[in-house]
Amino acid sequence: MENYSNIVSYLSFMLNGKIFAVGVDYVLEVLEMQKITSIPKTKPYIKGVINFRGEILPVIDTLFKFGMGESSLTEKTVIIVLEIKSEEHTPLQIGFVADGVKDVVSVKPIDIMDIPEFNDKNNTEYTEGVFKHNDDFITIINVNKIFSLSR
Amino acid sequence: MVEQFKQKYLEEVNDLLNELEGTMLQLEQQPESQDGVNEVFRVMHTIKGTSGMYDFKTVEKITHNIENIYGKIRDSHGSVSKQVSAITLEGIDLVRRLLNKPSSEDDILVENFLEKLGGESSQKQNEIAAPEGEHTFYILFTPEADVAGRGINIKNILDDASALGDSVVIPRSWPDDEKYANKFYMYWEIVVGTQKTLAEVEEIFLFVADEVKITTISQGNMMLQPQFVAKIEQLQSTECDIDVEQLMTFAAALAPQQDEALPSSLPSKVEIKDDKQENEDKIINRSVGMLDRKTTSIKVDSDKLDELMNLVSELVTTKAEMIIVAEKYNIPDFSRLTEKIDKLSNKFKDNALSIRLIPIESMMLRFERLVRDLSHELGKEIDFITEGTDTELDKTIIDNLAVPLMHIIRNSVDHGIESTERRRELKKTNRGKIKFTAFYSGANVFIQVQDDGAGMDPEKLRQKAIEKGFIRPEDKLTTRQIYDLVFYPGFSTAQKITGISGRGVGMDVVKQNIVNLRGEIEMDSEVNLGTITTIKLPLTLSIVDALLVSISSNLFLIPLYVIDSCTQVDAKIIDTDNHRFVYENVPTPFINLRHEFEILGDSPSTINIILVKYKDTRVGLTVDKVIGEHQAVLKSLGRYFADQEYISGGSILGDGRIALVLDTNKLIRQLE
Repeated sequence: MENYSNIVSYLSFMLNGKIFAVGVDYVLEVLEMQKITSIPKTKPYIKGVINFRGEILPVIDTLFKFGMGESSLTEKTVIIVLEIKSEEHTPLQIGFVADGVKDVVSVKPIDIMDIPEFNDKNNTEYTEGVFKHNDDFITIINVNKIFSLSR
Repeated sequence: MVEQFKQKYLEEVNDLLNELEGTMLQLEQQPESQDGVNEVFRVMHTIKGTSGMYDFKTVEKITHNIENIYGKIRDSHGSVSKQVSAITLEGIDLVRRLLNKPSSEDDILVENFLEKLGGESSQKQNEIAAPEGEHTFYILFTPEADVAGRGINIKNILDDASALGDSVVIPRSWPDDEKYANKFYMYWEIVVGTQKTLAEVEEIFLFVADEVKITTISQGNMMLQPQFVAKIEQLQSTECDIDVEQLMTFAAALAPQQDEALPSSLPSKVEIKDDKQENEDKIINRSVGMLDRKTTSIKVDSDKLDELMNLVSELVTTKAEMIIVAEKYNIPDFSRLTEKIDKLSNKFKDNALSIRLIPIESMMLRFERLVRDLSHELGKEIDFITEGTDTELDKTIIDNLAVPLMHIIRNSVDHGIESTERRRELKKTNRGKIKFTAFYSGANVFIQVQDDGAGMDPEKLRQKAIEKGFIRPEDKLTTRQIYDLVFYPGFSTAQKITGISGRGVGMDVVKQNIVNLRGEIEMDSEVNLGTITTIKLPLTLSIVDALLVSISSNLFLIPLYVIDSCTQVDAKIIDTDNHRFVYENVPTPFINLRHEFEILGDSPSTINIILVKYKDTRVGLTVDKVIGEHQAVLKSLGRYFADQEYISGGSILGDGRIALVLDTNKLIRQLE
């Protein structure tokens, strides 16, 4: 939270009845549900791959990463496509499934609070903080940690 | 054959020179940039290497000298002075000229240039402009009527005059007038750019001295300037004689870096001509020179090709939809058009694909030539054997492979294969052998260069690395790690610097090149048995002919080159315990892919078994259906699936669906 004056925009989305958010700068596109080609013998949190603009894009089950079980895919499911830039590699494009997008919300960094320790340690490991919007608490996911290749 | 690789070489050097110009311009901004200095050094080194190979001795000499200068700058961490960068650019132009438009005075130019290189710092820039001794003359030759009677051969004189250098001879005839009664019915105007002095030119006209008038138009050979030549051509077509005064003015205005006062007729802003303006002039002159060069191929930004490929896949997808619509409505006219579009887009797709893919064969010629020439020079007898050169790779990969492979092969010839005497001592065959192999394996193309030479002694490499301070004496390294030391920057095992190899720009550059292609390189060696260098390249953009099969709704591609045969069997055999079935009277093992890949659903009553080659045997893979052959553009699944071994990539089908490409070798090995 180095810069207190800048307002940051987040895309909020639903996951298992809770509201999460991801920095809009990462978001390339939000896709409607489509057939996800599953990859045999792969990590359980990888749903599979889709054809995104002619390239093969991995799709992650964020819910599984959070240790909250496996996402069930419905017609309302969306695939949020992110691009994560890093210094060592070419940008990583990745999709993850959510139960629908809600809104783009702007937050002052000062309004973002640390997450109180839950009993589930994954919850804090993959998140950056939480803020209050209207009457809801929205959890910001840490894209670099949650989609890191090392896990 | 010779023309083919020479053309390739010319294109390559021209590209390098163009790149280098960019680097030089950057260096002028940041003269202390060590990256820039290294870049110049490397490019010069590369050009030197290939030029030596194709017998462009002068180019080799020039680049060798420039390389030396930059080598010194690099070693002293110095910066590139204005003079050095000016002379480098001059060198670039000179090399370009030598290669693209050789002419008789090149030797003098090269000599001048090399001289200048020697004292590059003391030389004033002005003197660089016009090589000494070059002049442009205007000769008006008006013989008397009795010229033939005096035993003078006009034709010989004119031939001699035009042989002076770059010349234009303009024949004129006198107007029908009494005034010219004592003159020969014709006269001649000659404009010539030459290294000869005025006295030497006069000598040609010795016997007709009273009938000739020679004027010096300017210093330097103006006939090399396209604008000047154009002017002469224009004057030639007019009826009147050339106005010498005017021509001199014109020449003076064209001559670069002329210190004389500019003619008043030109606009005054030219007088405040600054360095930038001069550079622009140079660039214009240079680009005019470039027009002479014929290109048989063009380089295209690979992003544009990627974009093309994406558009093509979208087109194919849309076409597939269109076919479905056409079948649904069954309108004859529409169906006919759809069929046409289908054919066209297939052709278009094949074409777009083929643009990117070229066989390794395309660069083999220069390796063969390299081995031949180099072994000759070193007095070694070497057989160069190639295998799998029809393996196709993406053009970008091929383009970037030539230089590293050249280094590797050169190393094998130079350091690997021993002299004939040494080979005899070791009881090896007199003739050394270098084997070049390329092949597909799963998601990769492998290229191997293997020699049966001296090999590398791990202990020697270790000692050397300690000397160089790369490792400490107490460090324990595996053999693998020791061989990897070869790829450290500055690690070169060559004892002395030769034109052939070794200057510290060697294997580290090779490795960098391969890594840039997202490939890997490894060396393995056995003392007195030889060295093998293996390059593993991604198949990301390669294409593979494969069989499209399905299990429930999952699609898989099995490369045709691993397939032995296909057969249909009753699904009941899946339930057998030992996973074997009798095929062509042989009990053959099979893998139940549905089970292995945990795909839900039931098998149909008749299933297909694809028999793939594995080591010396065949192994069956069960699938539901065989859909047909498919030319698959392989795409990487990305870093997320780096540990996914069975699947070597994916391919997007015409209808947008994704089929996964199986690496059967790995799959079978894992389950064995």
